[in-house]
Amino acid sequence: MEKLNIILIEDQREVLEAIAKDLEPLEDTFMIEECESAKEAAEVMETILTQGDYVGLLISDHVMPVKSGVEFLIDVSKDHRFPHTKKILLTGLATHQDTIQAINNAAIDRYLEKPWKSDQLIHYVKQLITEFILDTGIPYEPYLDQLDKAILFERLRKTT
Amino acid sequence: MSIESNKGIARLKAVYFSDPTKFVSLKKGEVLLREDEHNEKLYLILDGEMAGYIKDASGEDFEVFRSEKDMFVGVYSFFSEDQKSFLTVRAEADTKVAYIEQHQKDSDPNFAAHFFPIIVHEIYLRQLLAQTMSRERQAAVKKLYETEKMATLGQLAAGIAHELNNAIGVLDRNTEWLANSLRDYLKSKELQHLFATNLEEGQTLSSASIRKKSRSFEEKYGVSPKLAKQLAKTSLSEVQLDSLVKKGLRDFEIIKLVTDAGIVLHDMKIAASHAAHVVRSVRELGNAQKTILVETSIHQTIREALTLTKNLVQDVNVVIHADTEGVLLANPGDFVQVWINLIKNACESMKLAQVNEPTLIFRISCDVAFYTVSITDNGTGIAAEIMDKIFQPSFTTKVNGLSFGLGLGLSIVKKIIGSYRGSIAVTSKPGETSFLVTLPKK
Repeated sequence: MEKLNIILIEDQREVLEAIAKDLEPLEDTFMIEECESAKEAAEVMETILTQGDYVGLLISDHVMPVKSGVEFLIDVSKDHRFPHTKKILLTGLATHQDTIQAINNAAIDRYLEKPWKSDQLIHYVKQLITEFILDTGIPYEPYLDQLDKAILFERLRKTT
Repeated sequence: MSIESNKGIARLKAVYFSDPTKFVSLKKGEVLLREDEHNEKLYLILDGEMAGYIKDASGEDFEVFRSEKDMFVGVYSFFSEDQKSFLTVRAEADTKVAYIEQHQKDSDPNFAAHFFPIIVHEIYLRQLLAQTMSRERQAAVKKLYETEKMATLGQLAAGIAHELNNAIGVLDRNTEWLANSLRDYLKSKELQHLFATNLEEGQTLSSASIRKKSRSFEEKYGVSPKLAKQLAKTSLSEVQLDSLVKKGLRDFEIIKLVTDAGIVLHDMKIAASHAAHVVRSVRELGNAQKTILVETSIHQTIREALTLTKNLVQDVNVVIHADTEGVLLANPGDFVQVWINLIKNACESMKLAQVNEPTLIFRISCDVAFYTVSITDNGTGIAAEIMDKIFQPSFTTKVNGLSFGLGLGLSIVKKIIGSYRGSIAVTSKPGETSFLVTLPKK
């Protein structure tokens, strides 16, 4: 079976560890990749693609050296190889202008402010992964435990 | 003054201002004309310097113009209808002037032709002075505004610093309590050691090397990606892991818990100290708190700063050359803060430039009266056009804010060093940037 990946991008190692800790309950179902820069994430995404696996969700910090989270997510949204990949921007520096740019240009699905709450993060992750699976059309059954039931039933009801 | 008007002045002097009975000598500070008083004379300064003042709203003298040799005073009242001086003219040095009187103007048919160009020039000079003064005033007001802004920020910060420090204090103390309790609770020496290592160092591996290790463990031990990653994240050696796997990973659950607890508590301590540092930096601006000075070793404060910035310097090759301990009377915290700011800047710029072998070299030396500390990094260097701005408050290259982009770092450094009557200088070229701090021994 193909693997479904969730990629975390955060330049500060302590913060990266903290996000990964929160998502540990999902690790039996999904692959969680931790990256310290946009460059590293791009490399990991290439590998995932080569192996024929999926990049379901990106959770990126905003302010990072070399390439910011918004710039990186804009790159991904323009990359036709990842049409359904969902994006969460995690930021400690939410200014109005940034938010507008992120939503308009990077097709951000969720905007989460630091400090975040673990249950809210997990809730968003489940929602977006569910949408990714349905958008992509891969079988949802293997992931059922960790999917957002409300979204799943709503979408299934519409299509049947 | 142009050559043209010099010639003009020479001519006027010869014709109009050469009568010794119409010379006046003034001592420095003596008043020639008074505001609102009648004046019928036009004066040419033969030697010395004079300045014109008006009283401003608060009754203070406000300088309007300054005239030196070959310039005129009394121009306005001499040529105007009311013949009243609109300001007070005073000698700024011992001054000699010559004058002409109103009737000479009326009786001389060539008067206007002679004086017109010279007077226009005089007016032009005064306007130029007014412009310069207005520009200077604008700059001064701007500077005052900046200073007040920083002071306000400092006061505001001092106000919330107390609240924040309480909150940080609770987190910091309780983290330590939890860490100690957990360590004492652990039964075996091995687990205690594992916990202590992770508490002290945190996660030392980069995300890329964890990924690499975990891929190889998947193959080597035939375990799931999840378990492989968990194994890769521990601080255990491969030999230890081999024997753990051989025993069927029986003890791994507790090993993982102890490892994670150590790393998490380490990160919490780091976060608390970072928050405390931010609070202290902002507060530093507003009020110079005077604390008790103690014998302080510069070398020791550098080591402390390196401990506090451990997660920044972990990939950096740090070298300290200490010819002396550098003992002086100081508040050690001040110097720790100076080094932390300089270390942060150096590390962040080297990281940003992705320098191959980032290196930070400290050198402490001394002569008879001074200690010298140099901090050299091999980053891309500071661009020449921003060199003269880097010590200004609110100047920052970290436009995206990074973890610490208030733009206060170097202005605080300069302020602290200045308070010890020291100085700081910087030299920079690509691959070698040095900050040189000089401090008087006493």
